[in-house]
Amino acid sequence: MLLRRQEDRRDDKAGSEPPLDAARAPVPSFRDVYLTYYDFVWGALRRLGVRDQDANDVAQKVFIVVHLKLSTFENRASLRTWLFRICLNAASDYRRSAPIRREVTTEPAEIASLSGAQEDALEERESRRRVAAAEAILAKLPEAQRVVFVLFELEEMSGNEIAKTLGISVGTVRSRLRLARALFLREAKRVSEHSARKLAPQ
Amino acid sequence: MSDPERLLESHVVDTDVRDLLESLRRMKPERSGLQTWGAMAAKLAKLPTVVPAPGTGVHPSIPVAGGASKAALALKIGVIAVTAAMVGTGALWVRSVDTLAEPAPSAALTAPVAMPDPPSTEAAPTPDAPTPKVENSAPSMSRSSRLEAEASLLAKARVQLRGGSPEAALSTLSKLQREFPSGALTQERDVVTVEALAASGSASAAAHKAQAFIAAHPTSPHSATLQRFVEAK
Repeated sequence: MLLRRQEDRRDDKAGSEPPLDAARAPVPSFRDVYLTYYDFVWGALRRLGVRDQDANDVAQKVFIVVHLKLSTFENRASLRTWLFRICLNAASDYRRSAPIRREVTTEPAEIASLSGAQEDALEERESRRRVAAAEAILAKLPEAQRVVFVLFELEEMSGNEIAKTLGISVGTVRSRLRLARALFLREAKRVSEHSARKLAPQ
Repeated sequence: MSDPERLLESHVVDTDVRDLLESLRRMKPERSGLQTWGAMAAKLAKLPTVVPAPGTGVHPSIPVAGGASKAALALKIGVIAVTAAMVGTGALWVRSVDTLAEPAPSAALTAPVAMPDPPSTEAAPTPDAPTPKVENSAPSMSRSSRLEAEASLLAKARVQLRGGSPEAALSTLSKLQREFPSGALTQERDVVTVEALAASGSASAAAHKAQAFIAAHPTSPHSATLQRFVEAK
């Protein structure tokens, strides 16, 4: 596996590693996990509503937890799912701590201007706008729905996995997803209609 | 009852919606894990009496990526990290691959890097990347360049796939297979191949390949993803 490297072997030599179940892959080193999954954790946190300027800090908090718990990670669960659970907790702590002003706008007019109705030569700026617009829409979803939506649509987890991760029934996952989708699609439509109206007179 | 089709995979969803979702899925930090590792290590060092868990290989005092050899090591890990992240989240490849083009530090690779399957020597197309002078580690250096070339090809396939050209992606992937039969990114290649096969309408070939992958790499994080794929069939 990609993750296992030199430092682990140094540990082996020191005899500090307990005998491994032969059928099971070794627990990867913390640094490998950090370097491999930093982007994933950062992105998951952002999708769960952590603001851009705070995402690195929260990500590092996640990894401190990872560091403390890595030895208890069992390969039965996917590492991503395990990390995602820690992200969920961190994101919900983040939302609870200190009143977070939602700096993302929820006004369709502003969202439309963010979503780049006019051609923009700079792809980078274009994509930034789109991210901001999409975030604004996500921010409109009730938290419980948003989490399910993000897990299913963006993290591509299955209904069963989501149910297990969140400790809810698959039926609840489905109904939250349905509601979240309806709201997301409606808001996305508002945004694009607004862009179209803005373009029309030109 | 099976899961509904994902919006991003649905054909009835507007391009606008797809673009919004895709942009959420591709959000990427300005600074990579590699760039933030120093700060992370410093935080860990400040933790009160952290006992490294057995097998984690974590020693708060050790891990700062400092010396040249460590930096080179980190560069390589970066490649792997980037790849894993790409497969997982569809991260923006182009930028990641750009960073690979930076010349490795000169005293590179005194520490051997354990790669899963060291690329065989015959599979070494010369990449366009700069090849800085390296005193004593020419083989390692060329290995790093090969990794870069391999990563670029994989990135290309990924872009083609995302751009709606699974056939082009498959052709890039088969080139990848020819040129790097035992490269460092074979698992990632296989995962993308499964996706490309599925996207090109060869569902049974995709499922077959996915099952073979799971059988060969039961503990790989990719297997969980592929397992879902198989189950969704």
